[in-house]
Amino acid sequence: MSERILQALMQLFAIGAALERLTLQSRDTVEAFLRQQVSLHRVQEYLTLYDDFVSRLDGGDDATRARKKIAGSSVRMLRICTEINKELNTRQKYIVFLRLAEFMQSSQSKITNEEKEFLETVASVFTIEAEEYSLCLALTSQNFSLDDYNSPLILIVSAESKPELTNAHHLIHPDLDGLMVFLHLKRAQVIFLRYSGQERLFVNGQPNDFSKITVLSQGAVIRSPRIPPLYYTNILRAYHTTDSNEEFRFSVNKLEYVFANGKKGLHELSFNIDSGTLAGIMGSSGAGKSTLLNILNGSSKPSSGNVLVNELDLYETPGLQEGLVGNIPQDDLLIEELTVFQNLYYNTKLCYGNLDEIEIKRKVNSVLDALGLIEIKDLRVGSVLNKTISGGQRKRLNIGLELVREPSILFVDEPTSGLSSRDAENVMDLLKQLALSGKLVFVVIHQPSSDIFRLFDQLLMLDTGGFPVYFGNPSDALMYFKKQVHLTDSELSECPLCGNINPEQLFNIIELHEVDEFGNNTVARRITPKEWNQLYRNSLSNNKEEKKFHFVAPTIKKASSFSQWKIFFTRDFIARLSNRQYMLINLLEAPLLAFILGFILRYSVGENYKLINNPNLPAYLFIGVIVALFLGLSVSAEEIIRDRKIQQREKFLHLSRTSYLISKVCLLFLISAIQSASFVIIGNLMMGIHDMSFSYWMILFTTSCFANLLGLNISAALDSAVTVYILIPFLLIPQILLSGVIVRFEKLHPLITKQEGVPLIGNIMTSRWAYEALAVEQFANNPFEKQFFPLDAIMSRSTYKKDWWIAAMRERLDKCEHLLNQKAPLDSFITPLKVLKYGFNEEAKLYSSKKFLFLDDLQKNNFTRQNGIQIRNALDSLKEFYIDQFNDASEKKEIVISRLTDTPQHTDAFTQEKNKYENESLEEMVRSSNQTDRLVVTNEKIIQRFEPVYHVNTSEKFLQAPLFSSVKNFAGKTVKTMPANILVIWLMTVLLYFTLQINLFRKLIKMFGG
Amino acid sequence: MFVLYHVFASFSFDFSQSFLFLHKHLLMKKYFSQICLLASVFVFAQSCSNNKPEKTTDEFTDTVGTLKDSAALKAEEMLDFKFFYTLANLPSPMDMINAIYQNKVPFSKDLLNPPDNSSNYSSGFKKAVNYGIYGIDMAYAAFYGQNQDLLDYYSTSKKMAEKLNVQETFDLFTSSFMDNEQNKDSLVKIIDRAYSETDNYLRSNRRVEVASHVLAGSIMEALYLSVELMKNDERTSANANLFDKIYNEKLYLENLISLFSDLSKYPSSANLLVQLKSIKKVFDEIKSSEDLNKANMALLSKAILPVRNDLVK
Repeated sequence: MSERILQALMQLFAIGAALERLTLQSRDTVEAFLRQQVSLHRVQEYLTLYDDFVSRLDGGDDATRARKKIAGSSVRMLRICTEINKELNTRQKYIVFLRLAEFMQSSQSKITNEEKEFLETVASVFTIEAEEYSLCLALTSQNFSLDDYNSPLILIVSAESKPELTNAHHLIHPDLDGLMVFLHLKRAQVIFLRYSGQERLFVNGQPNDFSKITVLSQGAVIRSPRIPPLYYTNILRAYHTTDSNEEFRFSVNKLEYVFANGKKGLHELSFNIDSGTLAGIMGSSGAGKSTLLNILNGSSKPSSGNVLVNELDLYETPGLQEGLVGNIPQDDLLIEELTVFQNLYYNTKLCYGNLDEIEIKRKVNSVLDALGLIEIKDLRVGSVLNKTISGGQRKRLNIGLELVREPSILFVDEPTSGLSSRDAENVMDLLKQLALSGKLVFVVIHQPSSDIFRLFDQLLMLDTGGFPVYFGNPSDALMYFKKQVHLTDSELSECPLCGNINPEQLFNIIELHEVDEFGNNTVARRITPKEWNQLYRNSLSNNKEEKKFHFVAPTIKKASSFSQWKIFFTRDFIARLSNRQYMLINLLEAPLLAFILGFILRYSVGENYKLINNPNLPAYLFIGVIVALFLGLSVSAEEIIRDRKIQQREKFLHLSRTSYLISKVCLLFLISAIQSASFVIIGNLMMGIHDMSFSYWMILFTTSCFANLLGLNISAALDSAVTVYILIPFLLIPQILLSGVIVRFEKLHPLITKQEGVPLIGNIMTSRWAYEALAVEQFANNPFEKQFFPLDAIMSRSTYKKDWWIAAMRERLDKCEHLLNQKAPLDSFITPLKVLKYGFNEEAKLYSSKKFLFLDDLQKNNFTRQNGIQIRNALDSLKEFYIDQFNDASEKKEIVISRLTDTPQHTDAFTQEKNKYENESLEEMVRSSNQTDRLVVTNEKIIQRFEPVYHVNTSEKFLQAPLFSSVKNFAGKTVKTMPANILVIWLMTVLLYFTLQINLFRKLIKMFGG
Repeated sequence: MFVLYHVFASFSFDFSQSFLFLHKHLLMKKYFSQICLLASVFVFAQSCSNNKPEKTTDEFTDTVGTLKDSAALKAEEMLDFKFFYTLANLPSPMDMINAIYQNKVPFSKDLLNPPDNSSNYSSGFKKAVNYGIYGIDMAYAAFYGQNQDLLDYYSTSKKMAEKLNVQETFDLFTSSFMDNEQNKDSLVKIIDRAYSETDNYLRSNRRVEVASHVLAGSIMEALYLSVELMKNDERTSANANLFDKIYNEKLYLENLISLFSDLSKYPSSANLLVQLKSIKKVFDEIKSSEDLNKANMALLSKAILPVRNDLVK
């Protein structure tokens, strides 16, 4: 009781006492009253205050003075009341008034008119309505009749019914001694209780003195050893004439469940439960509690039988489960990085697509309020190890996640495990209140305490192997089982001394073991689960209470896919932002790596660093690709695993997986974009690579995105982060090995290697596409080389043709002529002829003006001496042609160079540009200068190995292009390598998205015995 | 996680090394037989290509379009002849290096064109001239058994060959070079042959001017080296032959000047011609080999040094 109320009361008591003229007696009453309200030393303080007020009012004894006094006191009283009126809230006013009325009627004498007048004045000043006033008076009066209580504001709890009270509400508890009268003042949100009887009642766990009226506040519980606990909501509900539209019956009909391996998970089960019930599901571990829960909540379809809500099949009626069922699994579903409020807020947003921001916030706040979490709403949830909120608060928040959707049926899996007994009790009280408010709550529970066990309205027990063995009232359960095994005291369900029920005993009885001849327990059960099940079936009565329900399942309007995406994205984004360690490492990792790499690889000849002389550029490019892959993988590999529980819940809510995945992908791409940008900026700065940053970024970003999707795939496929990290080397090492840097694609195991282009095993490596793109882009497209590249390409191609290709063609020709001289059989001509034919066809395609008349003969595998001469002449002419082509291009290039180097200043600038952009080591690589094989002759054709970067062959297919070729053919067009490769990687990325969308890898793992 | 990064990092730093290793030792030794086979094919092909092909107009029609008209053809043939004449009438510049080595003049690396310069050359002229210069430097290192320098110049020359698009001749050279790494005499022969092979190749590809640049480079480098190495020595009976050889370089110069006066394509050629003539002028003042005293050698050096330094710049 607040100080203000007490002060007000002291004043009013003093006036009241003056009216009664029973100052001494009433002083005792005041003292007794104060003793109840405040601690001992403060009693004196308030008494002094009271005495002070009284002495001020006290005058003589005669009637005139008394009248004057009364007149004076009523003026004073009015003033006091008006003052009080300003300072007290409604609830406080009602309490003050009630206490005053109680005080005035504490004496045995009948209430006088003056007193009545006084109370009326106070009531009118406090704007207490007439009905409330008279009920307050009736409640506090020493001698009352039941008729005074005939009002809808009154709830009577008694052992027998009181039919004469037509207006009042009524509850019957047969074991209750005496009468409980509750007065509910809606406006003040307060309930007063008057109890007359011999029962020892506890209010909120405290013994209560019922000589006074008890004020019940929100969430109060009245317990007694004899009657089931009486909850605040319990009382409130009694006032409500329940609306049949909100009532429903949950029925289970011959439910059976068989596992995929043929084992029965649940044996035939049928029951009916009405709304407003808290049902416990108990059973030893392995009894199939979770299986049952999953069937009941609509997430795994039973093998036979059905689950009905008001005769509607949960599995067959679309939208029923979504709108009706809430599921609270045992595990936390919280996002640790978010605050309590945010957790609930995003969840609410996902569930309600049609509500606006203010409504959602209001909803969240009201749920937080109801759960008692409003104080901690801005605290971060934190991990289980690094706790910021308690276990009980976590659990309540988990419950809140479901409550916000206002489901009518709640399934809660082991809500008390890991909680302190106080937290457990709080959580269970919360669930009980939910049930009382009209919901149906199923709770799977392991070894509940006696208090918790008592909360249940119904109990379902399962025995090992999924056998139902009991369904009914929990307090009867023990008696039932005791009776079955013929124990003594079978009618006693609880300890006669302390009133506790020991639920452990239930299991002890069910799992009673047989005893061998030495009196030791054997493994065998005295009564097997099957036998218990039989007993249970026998005890089933068939009297099903028929009741009509007109219940319409609420339809919940989820957020649209796009809004879901937005919510998922912001939720993830905010969670990331608030995880400082994560942000720091993620944002610093790439630039730091780039710095270290750049520093180590920045080799220079002499003092001035020149890119052209740095032998480490290929290494830098290669590591760049690997870093992009690695960062992309490591940032994503844990994503889905971490979210798995939350995802399961979101699946339960039928939220869009696509929205979820795309939000993940977008966030990861954003991180990758930042990471690759910072890597490129720092790395290129350190390496002295100029003007190429965008291309580098584009390639590395693309590579990272691929790795993101790869990471998401494995994190969706695997169960734990450890397996993911074990798997990462397995994914990365092939990428390193087959990037085209470490090994040469044409020198692999014969089964996988390929002479032309890159073998399949290389082509499926992202690193190969990325590295090729980087190398070719840096070499061919830097601002310096760009101006010469076309000429260089012509020179290189004609060099190849005239110096190597023609020689190889001549060798085939010589062979043919040799065979002709030997008069060898026609078959032996085929191979060299094929090569010649292919070669000339290629030339004819390249230069349409060239006509090789002997080609028709070669087509028919015909080779004559005349053909030989023709071919030789043609090759000679081709050689001349290519010599000229070369010299032409060379001359053109010299002209360009001499123009650029016409003055010493220009020459200097030219050299500087060259030093700035070119790199010899890279050039060596893409021109494959260190390789001695310039071409390879197969049975069909001559394959160019010479300077692949300049390679052009219009007749080959996309994948036939050699590694480092600067252009590729696609659908009859030549495309540059960089865009082509980026496109290839994006295609791979999209493909991975689809495998992720359908969760292919997880399905595969499951299929192969995962 | 960090361990993984570390592993990847060490991976990558190794690979460029391993490439070098692979290239220099494994590949060459292991695949020597194949390379030889390939080489013989090329030699065969090369010998074929040396025969001037007859134009066959009935086979295809338009290659003529890119060919020079007959007058130009004639000039080209003249140049080719002149080049051949120059080459045929002179001993190889390697002879000079041999003479230096025989006279036990100490090896002096400082005089050579540093390999790192190779990345500075952009124009065709510079590439060709320095290809010639590096050839002489390589031979010089070979004579003195300076294997590290030899390898440096070898890889530099290889790079230059690639820049000149004469890889073909260098491929042949590579195989025999690696095979004879320990045998100095054959090495010098191989280098010599490689360079004459280059001349042949360039001629057959109608790049006589480039061949002339290469030739000029090697002649200039030989002249420069001999003068720089001997400019502080007095003529004695023991080193008389070396001084004679230096004096005879005058002939090279004359031939080179005559060759270059027909070269017209590049301004650089004309520039070199002027420079060559300035050197010749100094030579002309010296009447006989006996007159090559310190003073004259200093004059020669003074004339040659700026020209040569300009070439390697």
